Amino acid sequence: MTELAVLTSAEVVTVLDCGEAVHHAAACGPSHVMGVTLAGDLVRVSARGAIDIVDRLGIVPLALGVMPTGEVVGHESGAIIRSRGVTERPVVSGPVVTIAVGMTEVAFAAGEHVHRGSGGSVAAGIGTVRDLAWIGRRDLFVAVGTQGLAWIDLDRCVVEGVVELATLLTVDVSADGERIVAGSLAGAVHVLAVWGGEGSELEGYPDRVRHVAWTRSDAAASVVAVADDEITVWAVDGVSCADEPACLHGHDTAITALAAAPAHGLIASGDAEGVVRLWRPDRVPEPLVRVDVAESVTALVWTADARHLAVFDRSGRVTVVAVRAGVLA
Amino acid sequence: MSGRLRGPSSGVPAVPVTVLHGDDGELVSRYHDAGAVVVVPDKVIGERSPGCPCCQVRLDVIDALRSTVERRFPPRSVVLVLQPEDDAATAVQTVLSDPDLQRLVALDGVTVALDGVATATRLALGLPLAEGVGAVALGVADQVFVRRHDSVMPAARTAIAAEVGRVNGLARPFAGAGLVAAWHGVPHLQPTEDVASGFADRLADIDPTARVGTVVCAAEAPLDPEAIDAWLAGVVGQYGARLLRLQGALAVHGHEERVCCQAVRSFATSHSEGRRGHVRSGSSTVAVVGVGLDADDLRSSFLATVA
Repeated sequence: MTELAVLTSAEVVTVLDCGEAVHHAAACGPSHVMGVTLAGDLVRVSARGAIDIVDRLGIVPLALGVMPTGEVVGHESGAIIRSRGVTERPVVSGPVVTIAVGMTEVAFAAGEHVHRGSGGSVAAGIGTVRDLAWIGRRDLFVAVGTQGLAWIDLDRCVVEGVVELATLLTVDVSADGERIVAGSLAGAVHVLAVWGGEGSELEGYPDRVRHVAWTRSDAAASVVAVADDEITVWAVDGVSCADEPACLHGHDTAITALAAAPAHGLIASGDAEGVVRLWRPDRVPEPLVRVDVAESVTALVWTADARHLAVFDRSGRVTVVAVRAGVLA
Repeated sequence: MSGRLRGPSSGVPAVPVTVLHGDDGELVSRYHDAGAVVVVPDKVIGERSPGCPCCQVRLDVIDALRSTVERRFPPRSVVLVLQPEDDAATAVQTVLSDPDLQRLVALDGVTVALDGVATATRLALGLPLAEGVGAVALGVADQVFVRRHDSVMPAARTAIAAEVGRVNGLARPFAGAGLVAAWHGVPHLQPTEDVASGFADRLADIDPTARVGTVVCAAEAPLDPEAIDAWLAGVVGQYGARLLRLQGALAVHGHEERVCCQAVRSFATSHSEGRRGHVRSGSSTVAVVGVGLDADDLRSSFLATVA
């Protein structure tokens, strides 16, 4: 193991009980995370190890977005927006399966439409929308769905462009806001330039690509993709990718969650047996740290300051882990 | 060897799922009365997620089952109801093969509902039992429920049962009351010699040119392990989407217990038969259900795997 591995450490701060399993969670402020349980309870967890129930919504949640002013929770029949003490239920037909928070707007998708938190919607033109991501400037979003990918200007509620690709399930935008990565049902990963159609298609995954992420650090960004129990890391130059990816081995069962830290390049992965691994994939091919939780990992969230990782598992517990990222000597 | 398609064991508690093709109201209400959560998508599976047809089916099945099971209080059992226009083989393959579903649910069988009156009329007119997606559904069925059975003459009932066996030798036609209670206690295909002899009796009746049909391969001596592995891979590779279902019990040289294998399209699993008080049989039987199967080639290549 390198000096990097020795210096990267993770220590369990506390294990808390949320009451029910949390499948949807997001960072909330610099050192808190927010989750919504299967019972519809909004819970806020602090890095210091405190937990409180913010609200009881009484719905079965499908998605969560955290804004500076409040939260948006998607459920089977629509969405609930809690902002500055006001709760709204926008009229939406159908389940809201994905939410993304932009600069001033929140975007949520139901069926083939992308809705704006302040009102209005646009037909994305890509079949059923499966995932949304904020591009990082203004209120520009990328949506992926069963028939491709769309660039959406939510300020004006217009679709700026569409790229036809087969059944995309998940999307992430690079930290510089210049590139996106999308995973597909057919076992392929697409890397594209924002606003452009040029890009790379990376094939050969044994199953649908369920998680994708860009690493975030001072080093060149890499694409991390997960299918079943396999993690692959692609070095990326522009939208061109290396001929072969690096394969990371550290899980024996299906990987159920993946989260890229907002800084220092660490990646966290969790699996169906409750094993959590931390990686620095652009430096070391072996896992740096292992943390075990009670049951299958249902959600992984880094705090905004990247110093803590919240691990939610199927038992309804959340394990707060303090992470010290190592640096090369 | 059970006659029913079963999901691979994941080692964690999973909700049993029955796939019902045909949206039969009587069966649905019986399953509901027995405490199952019945999932009836409000649109034809595949219409809710426009795109590539097989991707549509896969995605909608995954979404339907996950949203049903990933709840605060998951159901004890689930019945996934497919419409007559739905692709049952892709749906069943998805339930068996998707990693997320393997953790959450376990396939407990496939039932296809047929209307006895309409089917009897088709047969009387010289038409096949079913066509298109209907034939595919029959090909992966464990059981075929014949509705309005009482409205059909005995000779027609016999013809329906014979045709079901011709299309899918593994499926068992049934009708009448007490179905759901009987489902879990339904007599499985008998292991060992009973299955072999039963299928052997049908060999002469099976029409190898039938669009969807069953080919039964049997051997009386243990099989070479590498050769039978290659044969199974070859069948899956050669027939691809035309292979609807494969199920068998194999006596493999060097193995104490017979190996039970099953496949739906390209997804295949196997497990040890388990003694269960039976004397280990040295015979092997495999039933292959598919479209345009070359019966002679399948049987001769199967016999070539004998050690």
